[in-house]
Formats: sequence, C-alpha cells, structure tokens
Amino acid sequence: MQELSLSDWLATELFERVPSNIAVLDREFRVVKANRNFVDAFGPCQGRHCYEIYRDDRHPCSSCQAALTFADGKRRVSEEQRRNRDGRYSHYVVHFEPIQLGENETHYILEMSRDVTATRLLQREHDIVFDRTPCYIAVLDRDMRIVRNNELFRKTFGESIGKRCYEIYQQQNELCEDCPARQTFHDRQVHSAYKLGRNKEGENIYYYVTTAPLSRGENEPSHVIEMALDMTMTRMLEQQLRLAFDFQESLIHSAIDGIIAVDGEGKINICNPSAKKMFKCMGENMIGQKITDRFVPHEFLDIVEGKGSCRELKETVAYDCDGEAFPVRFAGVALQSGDKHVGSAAFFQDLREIKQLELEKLEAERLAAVGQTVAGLAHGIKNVLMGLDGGMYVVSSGMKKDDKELTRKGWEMLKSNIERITSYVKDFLNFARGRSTLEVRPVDPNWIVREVVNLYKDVAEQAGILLIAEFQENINPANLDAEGIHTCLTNLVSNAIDACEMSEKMDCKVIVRSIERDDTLVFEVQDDGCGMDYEVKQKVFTTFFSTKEVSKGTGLGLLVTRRIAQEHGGKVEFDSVEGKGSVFRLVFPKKRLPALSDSPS
Amino acid sequence: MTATEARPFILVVDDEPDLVTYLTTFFEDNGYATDSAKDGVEAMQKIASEKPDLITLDISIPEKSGVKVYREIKENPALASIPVLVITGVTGYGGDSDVFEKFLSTRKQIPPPEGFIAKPIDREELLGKVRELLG
Repeated sequence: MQELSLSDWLATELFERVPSNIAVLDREFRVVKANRNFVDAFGPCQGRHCYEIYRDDRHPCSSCQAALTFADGKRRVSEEQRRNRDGRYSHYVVHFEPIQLGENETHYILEMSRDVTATRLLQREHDIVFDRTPCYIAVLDRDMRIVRNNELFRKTFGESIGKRCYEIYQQQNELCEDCPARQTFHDRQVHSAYKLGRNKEGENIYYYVTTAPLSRGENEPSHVIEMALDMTMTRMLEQQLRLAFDFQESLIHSAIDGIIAVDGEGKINICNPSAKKMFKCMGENMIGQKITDRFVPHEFLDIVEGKGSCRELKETVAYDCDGEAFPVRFAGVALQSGDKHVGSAAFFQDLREIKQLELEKLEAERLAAVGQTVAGLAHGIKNVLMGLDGGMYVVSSGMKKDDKELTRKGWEMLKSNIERITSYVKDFLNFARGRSTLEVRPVDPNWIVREVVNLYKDVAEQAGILLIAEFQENINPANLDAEGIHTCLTNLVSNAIDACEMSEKMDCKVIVRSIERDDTLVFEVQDDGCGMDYEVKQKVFTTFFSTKEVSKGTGLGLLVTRRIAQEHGGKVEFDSVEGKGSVFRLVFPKKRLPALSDSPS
Repeated sequence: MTATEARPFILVVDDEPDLVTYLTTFFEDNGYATDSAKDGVEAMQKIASEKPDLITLDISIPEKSGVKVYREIKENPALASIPVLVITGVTGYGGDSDVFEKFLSTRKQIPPPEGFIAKPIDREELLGKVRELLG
C-alpha cells in the first residue's frame, strides 16, 4: 500500500470520517457525492434530488436553504426534519457551505447534517419539567434580576422578566437579609429558606425556597435557579390545627372537672389543673408516668388495658396525695381514632361541696320538720286549754245558776278535753321519745312490713277488713331506723283501717307493699276505703287536723310519719279518690338514707 | 232599741259543740239572747230568718266555709249591716293559715270583718268587743 501524505489523507479520508452526514449538491439539488454516514442514514442517493431523499417529494422545498446559499453564496445553518432510510423522521442541524470553484459563483453546496433528535427530546422534557413543575421556578442573574421563570411563577407573581426578585416576591426595594440566592452566589452551595412573600394580588404566600448555582464552567456562578414550594395551604392547615389544638387544650386546662388522660401505653399525658388541685399534687410532674390505681379507680385501669370502652361511677371514692378519701363522680372513656385505641381519659367531679350542701339541706329539712311539729303541738295544747277553760266556765256558770243540765255539759267538756290530753300525751311520748337521733341499722324492709301487718291483722279482721302484705322479693337491706319506720307504717295502716271503717263498703282491703326501684325504696299502704275529698286532701299534713272522732284522733299521726320520713331523707306522698280509696307512700331515695349509727343500741 | 225590748241577739256559728256551749253560756250570762249554727248552710238559714244583731263566726266549719258565709252576708244588702266577729284559731303555723290568707286577700271587694278574736278566747276581750259592736 502506497504511503499517503497528510494532505492526501485529508483529501480522501476526512470526507468519510467526519461524524456527520455529508453530501455535495449540485445546482439541480442532486447529490453528486455523499459519505458513508450519509448513506447509512438515508440510503443510496447518488444522483437523486435531495427533496426526494429527505421528504419523498417531487419538488424543492418552498424555503430551501440550499437554494438561498446558491443565490447569495453565504453559508447557513438550519434545523430540519428529515426522513431516514427506515422511513422515520429525525431532527437534524444542517450546515450549508457554498463551494465556489470559480469567482463569485457557487457551483455546489456541501451539506453537513447531524441528528439532534435525542437532544431535542431532552430539551422538550426539560421545558416541560421547568414550566409544569408545581413549584415557582426562576433563574436569577448576579444582579438578582429574573431572566427566566416558569408558568406557575408567572401566573402567581405576574410578568417579571428583567425585574429583581425582591421586587416581585417581597414587593420591596431591598434584598432580604437571609437571601438564599445571594448565599448561593457567594459560596456556590445549595441553600433553602422559609419565606413569606406576596403574590400579584398582594395576598400572603408562604413558600420554601431552594437555590442552586448555575454556572457554565466559570468559577463564580453566573446564575442561580430558585425553586420554591408553595406552603400557603400547608401553613393554613397548620394554623388551623394549632388553633384547634389550643382551643381543646385550654378547654381541658380550664375545665372544672379533673381530667387525667393516658396514651395507648397507659402513660399520663394530660393532667389538668383541676385534677392536680383535686388530688393535691400541684408540684408533682405526673406527665409521662405510668397510670396506677393511686388516683384512678381500678375500673379505669381496665379501660386503659382495652377492656371496655366506657365506665361511669355516679359516686365513688378517690384518694388524694395525702391519702385522704373524698367522694367523686367518675367517668372513664377509651379514646379511639378510627378503630385504633389511642388512649383513655378519666373525668372526676369533686362531690365534696355537693355532699356538704346535701347534708346541710337534709339537716335543715330535719330541723324544719321538728320545728313544725313543735309549733303544731303548741297549737294543739292551746285548743285543749281552751276546751278546759270553756268547760270550767260552763261548770261554774251552771253551778251559779243551779242549772244541772249546764253543769253536766260543762263537766262533759272537761272530761272530753282530759281524754284529749291523754291522747296527746301518748303521741307526745311517741314523738318525743328522744328520737332526734335515729338508730340506723341495715334492715330488711320486708321484716318491718311483716311486723306491722302481724300487729294489725286481728284488729283488721274483727272489723271485716282484709290486711295483706305484698313483698318485693330480693329487696336489699337499707339503712333505716326500724322503729321509726315501724311507727310510720303503723300510722298509715291504722289510718287505712279507719278509712275502711268509714266506708259504706262491706269488705275492704288494705295492702302493704315494699318496693325497690331506681335506687329508691318505697313503702306503700293502699286501701279501698272512703278516700278523701278535696278539702281533706288539702289538710292532710295540717297539724291536729283529724277526721276522726275527737277522742280517737289527735292529727299527729301523719305529722309524725312525715317527720320520720324526712329524717330519713324521704317524703310522704299520697293519692286519694273520694269513695274509692287512698294510697300513701313513704319514698326514700337510697343515696339520701342516713349513715349507720355508731354504737349498737 | 229600748230596755224593754228583747235582749240583743247573737248567733254563734261553730262546728265544735263544746265551743258553742261555752260561748252561748257566756253570752247569756252577760245578758244576750243566743242561738247557734253548726255549719255554713244552717248559719245562712238562721241569719236570714232570725236576723241576729251580731254573728260570731268560725272560719273552718263544714258544708260552707266561714269565708263563704262571711261573703254572702256582706254581699246581701239586707244582711250587710250585721256586725261579724270572726273567732279564729289562726295563730301562725298549724292553724288554717291558708284560709285566713284567702280571707285577707278578698278585702278589696268586701269590707273586713268588724272584729277578730283569736283562740284561746280571752273572755274580757270578747265581751268588750261584743259590747262595742252592739253599741
């Protein structure tokens, strides 16, 4: 093989080796010479028109760059789409170089093209990314002027090319103190910052901005790209969350009820001031401690362990830090988030004050009952005194006039009033038998009913009246003064028998019942005797009002009954229909019943 | 009225027989003629037929309450001039306080009774009042 000189090599080999598609076109736009790359890209082409090769067309293109170069002899560069030999189109950057063999005339054109399809694709992707990313993107020069921005940026901040960034975001004339772009210009590092700016409408925009250097090989970056994520919505949600949190926290903080809450693992995470005060543990930090039965009832620990979702104790006992017991109303609930057990909360209502008030009220009622009875007694005594005074006057008047009939009448008056005194004394004794303090024991209510019914059974039977007891089975023992309740029932039964005797009906019935429902104990005495008319009903509890014969009734019975009922925290109720009968009830709410007496009688 | 004419006539209205005996004896001993009525209905009949010079009236009596009797007397022009002495057991709690209050509350339409005497009765006070009312 002959050795080539460099110029020979360039003349022959360069044409083939250049990494471009090269063709030489004549003035008819026919390919007169092409290199291998060109043939590889477009196929065999010797003698064919360029427009046939690139576009499969019969005619030259309307904007043929080659034609222009033929005309003016100037080189050109253009970007064109051309069909490859496999029928697909690609993007090419094409250089047109006039070949002038003589003077001022272009005989041929050297056409050099390079496939830039991949570059174009990348560029398009970049453009999409730049423009469509849901961030604000801007490119700043060293003067902080915006040279490029994306669609969202324009939409939010308006037209801004050529303006300084701080004029746009901050609507101010100076650079921000903590400007991350300036830092990036300075140290070529990536920087970030949370910023508050304003959009073109002047509304606040919270954003998180990241700046990165853009340099084209220089040491100092020529530009900085800013990418900002809009945090306005997040910020708003955060604020709302904060607000909701603060709201609930201050609610818990200022609640009158004591609130202790634990997380899913049973560690205390809330103990509000009311709870601390209630349990006298102001100085103690309970947060984070495992909950124990030191403060909460064991029922709550069950909830903490996931056994049960809710528990309410109307009245229970809690112990404070000093170990002192106090009455509380308690409620415990499991806290759920969806199906997940996230913790438990305990609520305490301090009942000390309420209990005290209740006690005082009960005491006041008892005192009032005693006071009323005493006042009533005075009134009764007054009546007897008047009867005696009257009797004495009539006797002496009769004796003075020697009127035997008048003297006898006066004597009768004295006698009947003395009988009344006897009756009173009996009731006084009953009333005043040192019963200001009750002898309270747990008693089976049915036992008292049985005693009273047995006591009166014969009396009732002789009068043709059926006396029966109806017990509620499994009734709970209650804290009662058995003798007091016995007296009450005796009074009511005796009244019922009298009502039956006053009735015109032949076979009357008296029923004594014990009833326990809704935490209330009730004794009921029902008769189908004469009943009471309106006037009598109005005076049932009026002292010394009696429908019975003077010597028989003092009018103290129901009064004593009421006093005893009130001393038990209860009351006397009645219903009565004239001619049909009456029912009297002793109603005792169990939680108001008195405490057990200290010493056995 | 002259001394030769009949003694002043007092009607005692009370349901308590003892009190009736006491009052009528007392009034008669002091020179008055008396009759008695044991309830409201009887009282109205006797007031209309006997035209007493004075009536003593108990408030809590059967059939027709003393208040009602009192109203009927004062609403009837023929009877309204008869003085009425209310003898009442009302002394605060334990008495017929509600009846007494009802009595007072009607004073706007009807003049108050000419006299009240509280039980237990003070004979001097009663006699003084009766003498005052009968002139």
